[in-house]
Amino acid sequence: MWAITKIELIKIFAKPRSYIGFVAIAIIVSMIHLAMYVDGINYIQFITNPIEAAFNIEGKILNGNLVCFIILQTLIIQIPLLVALVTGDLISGEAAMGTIRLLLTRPLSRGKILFSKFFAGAAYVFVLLLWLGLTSLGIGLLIFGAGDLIVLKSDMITIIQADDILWRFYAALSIAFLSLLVVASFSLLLSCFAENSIGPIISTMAVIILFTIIGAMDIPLFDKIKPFLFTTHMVIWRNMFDQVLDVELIRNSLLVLFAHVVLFMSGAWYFFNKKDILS
Amino acid sequence: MRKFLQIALFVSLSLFANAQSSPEALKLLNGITQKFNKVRDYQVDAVIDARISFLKILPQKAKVFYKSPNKFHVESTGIAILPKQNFDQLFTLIANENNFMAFISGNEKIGDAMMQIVNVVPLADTSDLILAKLWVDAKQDLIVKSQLTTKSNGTVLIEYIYKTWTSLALPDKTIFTVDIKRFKIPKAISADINSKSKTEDPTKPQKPGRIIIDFSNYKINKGIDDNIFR
Repeated sequence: MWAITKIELIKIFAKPRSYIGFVAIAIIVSMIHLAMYVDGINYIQFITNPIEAAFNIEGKILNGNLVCFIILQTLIIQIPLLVALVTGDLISGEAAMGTIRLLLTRPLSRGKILFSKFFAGAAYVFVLLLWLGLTSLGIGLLIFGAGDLIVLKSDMITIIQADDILWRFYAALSIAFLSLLVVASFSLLLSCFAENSIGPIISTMAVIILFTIIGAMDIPLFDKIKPFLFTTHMVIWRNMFDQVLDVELIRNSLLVLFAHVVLFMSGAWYFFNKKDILS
Repeated sequence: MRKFLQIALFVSLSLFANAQSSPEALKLLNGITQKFNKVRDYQVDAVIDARISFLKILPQKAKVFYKSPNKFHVESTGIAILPKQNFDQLFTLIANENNFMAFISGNEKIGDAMMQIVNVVPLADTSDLILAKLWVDAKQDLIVKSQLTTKSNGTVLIEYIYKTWTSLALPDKTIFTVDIKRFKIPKAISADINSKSKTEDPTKPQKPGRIIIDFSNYKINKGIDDNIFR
């Protein structure tokens, strides 16, 4: 299984489109670092104004932890799109190039081929997140130094002490990994139906955007739908930055995300096994 | 409405601006000032516990520096929420009799002791402080409670608890109670996209915020470098 996964990984990293995500992250992170370095104080004042109306705030507010948190928040919508760009192409790309027929003539079950592609996609997601963590937190701490983290919610501000933050970032990135696996498995499922890459990639993006819009709107009708959308549970990483963790809420969301991965991969496995190879 | 009351209070008290302070009130304040004047400088460890409805923060350790007559600095290891008023603001105000007008407005029992209530009105119209109402323990020359009405921050109630340094009027604990406004920012700014908005009754008054500061390990009159206050 490892040998075939390694081949799939080589295929992924041989494609120029696989590097779009890394370049996009590097550009966005650099831009935010630069903007924060030049004009971060004004941005921070915008955040702290409601508190400073009644109190004084002492301490280093603009620091690497805050900048990393801002970057993670900014990229929450974009990263799934960058993942879909690669994982939506895993099966359909082979179909479009006509190599899928050759691939399936090898003495390997379709299930093994499908899961090797999934594991390769998971490895890509892991490396992409590692890159995001290194650039946003690593470089952020180098430029701005460490410090307490101000987490802004629409009706609440949480301040987390500096020595209590790093493990939260690790946990948040781990949750983000599982969230992105949902996107990877969903696009892989769609990829099983298509003969070219554009369809699954665009469809995955459209579903994520649609679900995110529904999640953002405060309409009672949507409140009933929201718990069933995987995008609702994908942002649970933010709850790692609550002063007291709501363990049950986080656990439930992780279970929902994991169930989505199982569901999408089961679907992909079923349809890939039944797929007529006509190209 | 509160602003109107503040202005009305300020105007009515200004009418007495030419009147002299009551000698009893001045005597009480002089006693406090003389006590505090023994302190040329101090450095103290503080634990700042902010209890504000929209803010979740653990108690923060800090060091507080003071140098007479009005140098003040707080150094915290992390982010600390502090009241707008410096801890020495009252003493700075009452240090000079020409800066204010004072009169006794009554008595009130706090705990077992009877306190005298002294109203202090700053004479400078540039001052942010409109009125300071002080509960004074006349036997010990201590301010045990004060209510500051300010132009910019409404009313602030400050309670002082003395134990170790009663002789120098340095508190072991200070509790600030501050009026706060409702906190709400758009979800787009907080990127809090999937959270459910809490429906709050806008007519329900907002719970006041409290900042409790515990002081320990006072180092008094040991000398403090001026560079710390820069």
